[in-house]
Amino acid sequence: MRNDVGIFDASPLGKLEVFGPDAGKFLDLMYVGTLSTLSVGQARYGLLLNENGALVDDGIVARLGEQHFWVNTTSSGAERTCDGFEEWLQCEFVDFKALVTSVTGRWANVTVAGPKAWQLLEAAGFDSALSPARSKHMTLMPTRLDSVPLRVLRASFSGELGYEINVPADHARALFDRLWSLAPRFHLSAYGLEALQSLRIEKGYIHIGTDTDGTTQPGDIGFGRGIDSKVPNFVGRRSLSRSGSRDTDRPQLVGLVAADRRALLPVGAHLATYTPPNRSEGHVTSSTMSAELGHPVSLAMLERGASRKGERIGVHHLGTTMEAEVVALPFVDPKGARAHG
Amino acid sequence: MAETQDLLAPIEGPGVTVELQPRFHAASLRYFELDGAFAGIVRRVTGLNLPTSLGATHGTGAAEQSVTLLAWRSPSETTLLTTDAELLDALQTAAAALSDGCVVDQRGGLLVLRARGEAVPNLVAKQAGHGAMPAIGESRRTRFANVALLLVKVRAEETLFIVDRIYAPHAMAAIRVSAADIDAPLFD
Repeated sequence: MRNDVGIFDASPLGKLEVFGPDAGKFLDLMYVGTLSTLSVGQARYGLLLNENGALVDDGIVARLGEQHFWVNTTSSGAERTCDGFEEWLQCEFVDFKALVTSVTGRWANVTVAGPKAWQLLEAAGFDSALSPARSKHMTLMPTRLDSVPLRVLRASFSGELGYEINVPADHARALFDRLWSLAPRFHLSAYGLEALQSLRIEKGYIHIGTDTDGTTQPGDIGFGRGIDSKVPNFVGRRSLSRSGSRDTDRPQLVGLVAADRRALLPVGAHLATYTPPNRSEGHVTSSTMSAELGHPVSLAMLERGASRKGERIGVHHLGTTMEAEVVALPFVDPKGARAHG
Repeated sequence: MAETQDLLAPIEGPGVTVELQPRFHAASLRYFELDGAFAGIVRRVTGLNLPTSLGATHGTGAAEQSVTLLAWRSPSETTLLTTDAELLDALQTAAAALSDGCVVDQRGGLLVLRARGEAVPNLVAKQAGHGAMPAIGESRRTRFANVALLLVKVRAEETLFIVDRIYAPHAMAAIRVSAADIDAPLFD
């Protein structure tokens, strides 16, 4: 997939439409980032916090019109996020003119990603306005294929040139078949969740609930910048100013590679300079064998992790100890050029 | 693994049939006011007023044998079902520039199950309790096996169960069990 192109069924991703004169203002209150400043067609990654400042969901928000937004949530967070938005509107922001509607069932999502993604779509008859030269990364474009309406999001959870094609659910099979008919020509491969997990770990992209837990805050995963300067309030903001949230010893997301470059570090293994029963300084959250690099790589939450790159640390698991090096993220394509095609 | 179409196969039990009704096109009508510009557009295009609380209404359109139905879902939402795809397209176009309401296309996203037979109230009671069954001209939100449904009744001979496509197989599985067990006494 990193060499050619892959196809992935991302249909379970949550999809919401938020409409109304206050839709942008409402989303600013829900997400850490500022979304009301998006121009029509532009998309931005957003983090959703609970009142304690802990990460509970993430996704991409795009502007469909002046008062109309498209919101992608995680798959497992689809209903929870929709219900949560509704609760905030009904209980707190009762004067807001904003309406939240779930369209998760309406739209399937056929994701096409890889260096040859556009070549495949072009051969399948997609609008040339979607070419990487004309359609920038993190944009959403409503279009049609034959007469079927599509909403094509240029985004990537694999780090490659990516097209998340939202298609009416009853046309998804036909679209998949159409693309699959071109598989031999473009070395198209179908990939699933296991492969996607490996790809996103290589890129250092978090998976909510895997790399995060009920204590993880934006600054812990490298999204602390800009929070203090954001003008609108947002859910969880007050909690980010508590002393515990400002603690410089908080765990932070890091990359880990086993010192011998061969070992797959076990998920859940504790990180500690000294052998237990000394205090744990963090834990491994995700591990995979990197097909790109030829050796395993891991993500971990480690106390003061951002300032510990190059350091060696013990990885302790069920009575065994390995050594790993704290490394910078991402493991693959650090400049992020591939997503732009 | 069972195919989705198998899971959605028609259900027949003593005094009750439930089947997928694929001819309806669905949309969510979202609005801030019952009597604003959006409501006026809905009235002009469909010939129907947005329903008030728990209401459901229907009418026949110009297209041959077309049926359009509006079912109240919440103070800011009505579900539109129509057999006339062009009517839905026209409504979307007419409402596109409005700021007090919008049409959210749900074609393929909301499925309609049609329940018929004298045992339908019994089926609904087994799944959701006696209070869940709508009277004619009513629309009621409820849950079958924890799946959210909108029950709509605009004609004596049928009750429509509107359910999200994703959860339709689960709802049908629950209905299938109750339909097979329809004569068993209720314990609620």
